[in-house]
Amino acid sequence: MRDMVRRAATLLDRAKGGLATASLTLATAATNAGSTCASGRCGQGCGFACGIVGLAAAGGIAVAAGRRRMSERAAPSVSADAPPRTADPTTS
Amino acid sequence: MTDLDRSTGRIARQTPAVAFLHRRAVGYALGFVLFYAPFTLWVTALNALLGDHARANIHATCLRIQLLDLVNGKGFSLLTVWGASFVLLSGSALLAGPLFCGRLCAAGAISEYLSRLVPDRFKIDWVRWVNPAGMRYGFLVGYLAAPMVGGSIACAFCSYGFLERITTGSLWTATGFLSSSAVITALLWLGLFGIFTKGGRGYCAFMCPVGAWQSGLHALGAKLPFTWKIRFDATACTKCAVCVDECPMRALRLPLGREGPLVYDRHTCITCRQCVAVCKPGALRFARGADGWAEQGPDHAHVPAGRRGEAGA
Repeated sequence: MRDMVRRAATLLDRAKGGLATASLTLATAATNAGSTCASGRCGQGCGFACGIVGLAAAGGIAVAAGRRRMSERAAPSVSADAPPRTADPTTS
Repeated sequence: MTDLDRSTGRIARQTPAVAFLHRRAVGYALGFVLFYAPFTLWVTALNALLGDHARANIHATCLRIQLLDLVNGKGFSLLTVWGASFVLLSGSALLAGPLFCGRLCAAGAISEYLSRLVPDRFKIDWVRWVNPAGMRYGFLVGYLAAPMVGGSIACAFCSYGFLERITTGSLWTATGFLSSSAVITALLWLGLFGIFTKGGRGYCAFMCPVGAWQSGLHALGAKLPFTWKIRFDATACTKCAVCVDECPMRALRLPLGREGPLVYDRHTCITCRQCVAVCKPGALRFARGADGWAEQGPDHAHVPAGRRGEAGA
């Protein structure tokens, strides 16, 4: 039971980033934020949607990394609000 | 740097790591002439073989554009450059992991090899703090679903396409492209998540949907006994952490003080086999059969990745 809860928590932790990037990509595409190239063949730039996605992802990674680094410094073992990332449960 | 080659008894002029890097570079050069304009030998060969008339550049094998065509009702045909490429790419990933990423993709290789020129103290180990697997799968989902919601996340986000623009010179003529967000992609791919990231493949690890597609297939395929995968022999592992330091995707890690077994993340591994090449005790192998990672016991699944750097030092 404890192992299952642990696995579920790990999976949720892993899915968090995926949900964020999937939602971000879809929201950007659906709202047509910036101008997007429909065919990818124009060669004149696909607009700024890609930049929104890329920058937001990079910002998210940087913030998450910074938070975890700070929490690790504050509590070198394990911090409850921002646990260090865990290994892949599928390989266990 | 020199090293004793036990098989020949001679002093090798290169360490196994450097020698294998050179060997891998041959594959990336091959990947470049196979997929990139102006060579595109892959597309040219398939065009001739299948009677297709696909454009002789990387767009002929692009997952996104063809998916858009699929959504637009153009359908899927195996006997086209894209159809055949898609099946071969997916099939190889299912049977032997993301070999395209690990041994052929020139875009990923450029950032990795350039990052080796930068001292480690200038690099960030993103994977130490943030799990890339979830993010890249999220991008894959968004990337595949974007055409279905009437939008597109397109070429300006593609490091693969950006490299072709550089090598064909079209980057310098397409001012529209340069004034778009492609510049951000280049900065992320070659800069922040490239040469200033440990391993040099931060863009591959976090943002490449093609790699995520292959990793997903590899994770499924690795459960089958007849597929090739990175196998681990825990009894042979000395926890020297050389593989941890050498992995360009940072898919391997050791706990603090090396008190636990080696941990492997198949969802970010690109089966480049750099780890296998540097593993002197032979604990890591690329072969068929049971992978060996499952035999480590349950505790290894809770190793804080933050310890990796210390273990590898």
